[in-house]
Parts: sequence; C-alpha cells; structure tokens
Amino acid sequence: MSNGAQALLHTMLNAGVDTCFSNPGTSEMHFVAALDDAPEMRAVLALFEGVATGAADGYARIAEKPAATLLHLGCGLGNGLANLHNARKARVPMLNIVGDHATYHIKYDAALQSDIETLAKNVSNWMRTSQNTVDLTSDALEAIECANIKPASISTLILPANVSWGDGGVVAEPKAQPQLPSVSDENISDIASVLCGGGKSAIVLGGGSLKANALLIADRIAAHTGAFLVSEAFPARIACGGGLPSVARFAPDLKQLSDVENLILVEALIPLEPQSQSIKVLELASLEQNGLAGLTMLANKLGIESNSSPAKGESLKRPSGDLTIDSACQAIAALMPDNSILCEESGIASDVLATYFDQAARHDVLPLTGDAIGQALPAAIGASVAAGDRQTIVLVDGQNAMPTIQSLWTMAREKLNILVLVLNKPLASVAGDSVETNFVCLSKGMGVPSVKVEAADDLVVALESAFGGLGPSLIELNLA
Amino acid sequence: MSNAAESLVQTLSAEGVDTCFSSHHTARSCLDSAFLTSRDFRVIATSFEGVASGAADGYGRMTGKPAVMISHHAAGFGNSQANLHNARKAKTPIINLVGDSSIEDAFTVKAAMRESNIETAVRNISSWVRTSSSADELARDAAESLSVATGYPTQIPTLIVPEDIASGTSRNGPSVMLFEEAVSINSNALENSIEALATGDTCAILIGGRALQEPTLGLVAKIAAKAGVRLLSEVFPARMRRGRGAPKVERLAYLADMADVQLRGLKHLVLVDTKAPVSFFAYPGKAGCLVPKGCAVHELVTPDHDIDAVLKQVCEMIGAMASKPILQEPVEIRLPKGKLTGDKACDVIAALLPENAIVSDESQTSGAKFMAKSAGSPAHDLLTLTGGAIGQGFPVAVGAAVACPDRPVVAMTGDGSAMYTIQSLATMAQEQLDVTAIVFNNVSYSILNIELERVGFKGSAGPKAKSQLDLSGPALDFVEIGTGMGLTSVRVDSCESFAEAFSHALEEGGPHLIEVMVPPSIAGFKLKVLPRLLNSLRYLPTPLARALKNWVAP
Repeated sequence: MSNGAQALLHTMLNAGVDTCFSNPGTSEMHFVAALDDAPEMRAVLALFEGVATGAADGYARIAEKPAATLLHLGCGLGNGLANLHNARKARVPMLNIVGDHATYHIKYDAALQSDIETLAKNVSNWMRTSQNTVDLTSDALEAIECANIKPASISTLILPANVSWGDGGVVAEPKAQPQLPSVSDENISDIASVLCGGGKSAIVLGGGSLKANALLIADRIAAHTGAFLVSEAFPARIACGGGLPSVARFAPDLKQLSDVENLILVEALIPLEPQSQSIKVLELASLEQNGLAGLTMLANKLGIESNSSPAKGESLKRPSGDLTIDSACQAIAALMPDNSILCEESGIASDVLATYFDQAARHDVLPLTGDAIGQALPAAIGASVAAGDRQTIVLVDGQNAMPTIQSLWTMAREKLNILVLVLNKPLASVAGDSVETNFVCLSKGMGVPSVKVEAADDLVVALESAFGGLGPSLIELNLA
Repeated sequence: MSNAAESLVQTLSAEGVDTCFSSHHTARSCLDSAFLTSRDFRVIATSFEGVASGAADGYGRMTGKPAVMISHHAAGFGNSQANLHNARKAKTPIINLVGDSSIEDAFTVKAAMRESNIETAVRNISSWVRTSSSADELARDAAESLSVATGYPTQIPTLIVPEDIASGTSRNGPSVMLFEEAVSINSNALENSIEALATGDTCAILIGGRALQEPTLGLVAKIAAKAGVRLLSEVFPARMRRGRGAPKVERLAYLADMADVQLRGLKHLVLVDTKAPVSFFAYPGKAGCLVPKGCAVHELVTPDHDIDAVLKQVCEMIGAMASKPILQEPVEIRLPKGKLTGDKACDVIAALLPENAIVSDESQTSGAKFMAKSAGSPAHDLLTLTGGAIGQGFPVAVGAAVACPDRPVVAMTGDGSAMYTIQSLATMAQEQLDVTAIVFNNVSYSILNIELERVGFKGSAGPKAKSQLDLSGPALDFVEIGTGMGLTSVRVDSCESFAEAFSHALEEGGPHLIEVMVPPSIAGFKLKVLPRLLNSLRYLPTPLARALKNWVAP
C-alpha cells in the first residue's frame, strides 16, 4: 500500500508534472524518501528556496507545463516568495508543495509554526491544506488542473507531515483538460473592420502570441493594416532574432502609442488608467483564449496569405577594443548559438538590448516579470532543465545576481548548459561603501568555472570557449 | 517643512532608535533616503533582505531596542520573512517598514509589475499591520508601531509605506510614542508557583526569553537556589548568558526523546517567559507535548509581564533575595590535536573563546557538543536559532556586531545553513565587522540524514532520496566564496591549524572566514543506531536514560 507521499508523486506524474525543484526539511522527508519509488520524477535540489521557485518559473515558461516545488513550511515558502511573485506576473503554471507540521502538532505552536496560508495567498490562485491521506491526491489533481487553466497560475498544496506519511494513499488519474473558449467570428470581423477603418491601431501581443509563429502572423497583419506591434507590459517569454519582428514593450508613455486610437489585445495584460479612455480597447483573444488561433483567423479574414520564413538580416560583427555595454551585447548577440534561451535581468543593458539581440540568431528571451530581482539565474536553471539541448544564457547585473547567487551550485550539480554573464559597472555608491564582489571567486566556490574579462576581444574568446563547451560557466564582465 | 518620511525618521530617532538595516537595490526610495540623510541613523545596506532582517534581529537581541528594517513590496518582504519569523519567535522588537508603490502611480508598468497584496504576506509575522494612508499621519503611525514593538510582549509591527505618502508633506511633523504598560501579575499563577517551588526536587523552573539575560537571570537563579529546584532553559534561546561566573542552567535538548529524559519525574514546571516544552517536529507515534504526565504547569511569567517585577516579588516572598545562585566554575579546555571532527572543533572554540564574546550558533550537527564544551569558557552570550528557519546564524552575527562593536562575535554555522543567507559575508566585509565566521563543512545536510531516520520511513532510503541531502557534487568551497565576498578566508582540517586560524582571527579582529572541514558527526553505524537509541530512551529506567542522554548529548 502506498503512503500519501508515494501516491502523490505518482499522481503528479499522471498529471504531467515530472520535475520538482526542491529544498526539503524534516517535514518533507517522506516525500523525499518516495522519490526512489517514482523514477520518472526528476528532483533538482536547490540550496535556497528562491532558486527552486525561480527555476520552476523558468521551467514553465519553456516547457509550457508546471513543475513542482518542494518547500519547508512557511519560512521555505517565504524564501521562495519573490520568485513566486515574478511567476505569478508571468502567468505560468506551478505546483508548490509546502510541507507542514502534522495536523495534530499545529496546536503546540512549535518553533517553525506560522500561518502558511496567509503567505501562500499572496501568490496562489489555488491553495489548500490537505487534511488526510485519502484526499491528498484529489487535492493535488485539483491543484494541477487549476494551475493549468488559462491564464495559468500558481497552486499551493500545503502537505502536513502526517498526511504525507499516512497509509492509504490512492493514485489518481487526471480528467481531460477543458477546452479553451474559442475566439468568435463576430469578434474577428469587428476587429478587422477597426484595423481597416483608418484610425491608428496598435496590436498588443502577450502570452503565447509572442512565440515565433504568432509573431510572424502578427507582423503580416501589421504590415497589411498599418497597425503597430507592441508586447504586453511584462511579457514572460518573447521569441526574438533570426529575422523576427522587433516588438517594443507596452508602456503608457511609449512614444509610438501617443496617437493610437485602438488597442487590440492578444492574450495581453497592460496597465491602463480607466479615465484615459479616449482609446478604444478590443480583445482579439483574452487571457483565457488562444492568441495564435485568433491571429490566424484575423489574417484569414483580412485575406493575408501565409508567408515564407522571415528574411534574415546581416549577421553582427565581432567587436574589439574597450569592453562597453554596447560591445559586450554585440559580442554576445554575434556569437550566441541558434535557438538559445536568454534570461535577461540587467538594468545596465536595458537600453541597448534590442539594438543587438534583434539581429542575433533566433532565441527566446525570458524577461523579469515582477520586478523582484534575483530571477534570471534561477529561471535559467528551469529553462535548461526543460530544454537541455538548448544553450541557456543569463545576462544579469552583479547586484541582481546576489539574491539568488546559490543558483550557481545547482547549475554545476545538474551540469546544465548555462552561460552566466555578470555585468559589473563601477557605480556611484548608493549607501555606504560597497566592497566589490568577486563573482569569479563566488562561481568557483560553487563549482562553476569562471573567468573575468576587461576587453571586448577577451569576451569574444571567452564566449567562443563557453559556447563550445558543456556544462555551466560564468564570465564576469568588468565594463569600462 | 519636512516630508513625511523625514518626520517618521525624526519620530523614531527622538525615542533612541538609531540603526536601520536595508538593501542596496532599494536605496532610491524616499523612505530609504530619509534614513540615509539623517545624521541620527546608521544605515546598513545589505545585498539581500534576509541578511538585513536577520541583522535587525541580532541587533535587537543584543541592545533590547528595535532597529528599523526596510524592504520594498511583497517580494522584498518575502526575502526578509524567514529571519523575521526567527525574530518573531525570539520576541525581538523590530520596526518593519515595507515600502510600496505610490498610490497615484498605480497605472505605471513598474507599479503593475510590483502590485501584490503585501498585507496578506506580512500577517505571517506581524499582528500589528497598517498601510499608512496619509502623509500627515505617517509619523504618528510610526510612533504607534514603536509602542507596539517595545510593549509587552516585544514584537514586530509592520508599517506599509506607499512612496507618495513618504514623499508627501507632513503638516503634523514628528510624533511622540506612548509607552505600553505591562500586564499585572497573575496572583493565582504566583501562588501556585510558590507552592510548586516548595516541593523541591520534583519541581523545575523552565526559563526562556528575557529570563536568560542578566540581571533577570540572576534573580531567577536566586529563586532556584533558594527553593532547591532545577533551572532549565528552553531549547532555542534568543540570547543566553552563560560560561564562567554565570548562573548554571541546563538547556533542553533539541531531540524530543532526550528532552523527555531531562523532564522525566517532574511534578511541577514553573514557566518563566517561555512556553511549555514541545517537540520541534511531530514524529509518527511520538508525543508532541513534552510535559510529563501528571506534571502541573504554572505560567509564572509571560511575555506580557514586567519580568523583573514579578521575579523580585517572588524573591521577597520566599526570601531568596540574599541567596547565592549556583554559578558556573571555570573549566580549562585543552586544545585537541590531530584531524578535525565537529566535537574537536568545538573544543578548539571553547578553549580559545575570548572574554565576553557573542556566539551566534547555527552549527547544527557539527556543533552539537559546543554547549557542553563551552560551559566553563569565559562568560559569553549565546544567540540561537529561535524559529527553526535556517540561514539565521550569519545575519544575526552581523546585527550583534553592529550592536556591540567592542565585543568579538563568533558565528558558527553548517555548510547547508550558511548558503541560505551567504550574502551576509558581503555585509561583514563592507562594514568591517568584528565577526569570525566559522563554516563547518561536512558536505551534507547532515541533520536531515538523522531526520530521515527519525521520521520512521519504512525501508531504507534510496539513492535519489540520499542525493537530496548530499552537498558533495560539487562540494562548496567556502574559501572561494568568502574571498569573493571580500573576507580573509582560510580552510582548516586539523585541530592545530584551526586553533592557529581562530587565534589569528580573534587577535587581528575584523571579518574573517574559517572553513572547518569535518566529517558528519553522526553517520554510518551511529546514524542507524541513533533512532533506535532514541526510541528506547522512554522505556529505560531514569538513571540509565540520563546516562545515555549525557553520553550522546551532554
């Protein structure tokens, strides 16, 4: 007979959750012990919970399905909160499993006792403390199904130790996923006539409509109607480079939007002041719907023929000379392999990113979604676990690397194909005299080979070596 | 006229609050600026909020007064939560300020990204939560939060400060705090406790919180001496005065089976600023409450009380004012030789511990013998992991060193524990704090190997389970990590080299890291036997059980 943890693991596998980013403690020991009973479950250990939650986010952005996290009571969840916040804003599916004291132990208010549910509410769309072993797996299925429903969200299953260790666990089978609400023909006709009606329109792409095939259709619609393409305000994943159209990110004060009369939303979320509504807002696809389907229907309505693959521009030259943010981005964009994943969290690079990476080989960008720093390094772990055959690249400012610097160890342990680029710029001190952090040392300390570069040519050499190799590496860039 | 944030700062500084822990990346807010530009405040910016919150805890434990902790938005608060949880359990007073977006900026991209229900999250650690709604009232909100923080019990109020409130003009200016009054003595509990104390050796006083610090500890020790009862301490004290010349107190063991042996036979347990003892976790088939059957519990002093007033009254009632407490005799520890183990490393630390040191202990299994070894070391303050949220040891050491710049701070932590808030090292370097950071590197979550055996998992753990507790692939190199954060760092694997490195660090002062390579304290045969031994304790006659307990964990 299965105990709760064993049944839970098999139920998760049945529901397509086969990866778990973990930082366990005593109350999770039965779950940990049950891992050997579930060989298909990949368990990835993190040294800090924010690494686990950020990795589950990055994983979901690439795999388009939930990973689980395994966290230790309220404080484990608290440590994971910042990246759960980013994941919530990214609308990714995720299953948090938060171990708790045995149900009968709560009354003693032991040291680790705290109100887990109040913390979990901050980030979870679904939350439940499972009360007995028999119901555990139906709770888990409900959690996973809820996480997967568009717009995807975070489910938190709180797992008391006795529910986990109790006998009588029953493995459950998932139901068929409900179909997405489809886009209506009438809506397509309305939008088509607005787009052809004269006033300036912008098409705001979000969610799945920022993937390559949707982007190409949107680009042709834009060319046909004169509409302007933007992405939603904080996209989770954007296909970029390799001749794909460049899309600016939505901001209320974006110059190109100043005289726009119509905003066409495609799976997109934007902050818009209600009273500033001289702008007409139409939804081609809501967050619940499939943006690609909507764009395809609209293209058909407008009589736009499907096109061949995009023309590739000239490839970038390798820079030499001083290491500036421009030469650095140029070098990375010039050398990055096709189909890379770029986890980007750099204030230093933000102004020049589009200039260079739009000309790079085709890649997916995973930006910072919730402005909680410390996302890029963990997200890269998840992305690389989801797509081991792709090169994952992290572009991060030194300061943003620090909150989840423990990520490096998991990269080394899992031998992930990740290149970490840490940007160091001499900054005017903000508060107190900051002692300079040496990321080359930190990286070695966590088992990731590392090198410091101070000239563009050296960066090119380091990049060539990193992209040619296996496993993680780190380059610290001391910018001029 | 000053802005509201400046009025808040003036309000706090007028009451003697003068230290603020925050993080580098939030220093651009108006709230942070008000602290940074105040001449009355020392602001310590860290590179991770969990370092700042742990430091605020360490600072509060050592000074008894609140520091200000600043984070921003729910995510920044989240990073600080675990160590605020430890601080909550330690009953450390902290003013927790959480900056939020301007209400009027709600439709900017940044605000939309950061939008989150902060109040929900902060309720986990604060029972007093307020989102300030007016610039005029911000200083008054701060004054009220200070009353709450320093009241009875001391605690962590959270004030959420929207940016436009902080930058707004305050027409009222600074405010003044009102002092909270303690709850008066519970005369029933007092009478019952005095009767219980009269029963002598079947009674024990279990102390925690403020009772483990001088001068309160002296009072309670007089009572124990006069009544002839045992003096026990809670498992994880916030701050405990111990060593040569300090009153002798027996600390309860972490492992419930062992604490059970310590408590066995008691008919009365008098609680002084602590709760009745419970098991840290639940284990299948084992009791959660550790009070022996038939033992009456008397809550003499609660955190709501003015503790010294209650204890003085007890002293007078039983005539203990002039009695002599039992004090710890000096014990000379000989420096060990040869290959290091956790136990020998504890010998080295105990032997070389300087006078009046502050020891922040999160050494888990490797430092298990530290209590016994250092009992007769020069008097020191011990700060322990109050809330079980690991990653406290280094941040608390940061705060203790800021609070007590003239005292050496020794921070002991396991390798796994160290990594949760490893960014602490950068703050030690940045502030040039007199901290010797000792990392016991046994390349394992060793304690979880024990817990895995204890939770009664049937059968033996497989390779996947074991790898979740194993930190060997790759092994962490704390000398590289320490160096990368700006600390003088050294690795030792013999008693002699550890003694030399530790002496050198203490002599030189300032931040140092020593990576102490040790084998897991409990592994192999010992690991297999331990759960059985623990299970057997409750069936053994008391003298034998005590002997066994003292052999495993003196």
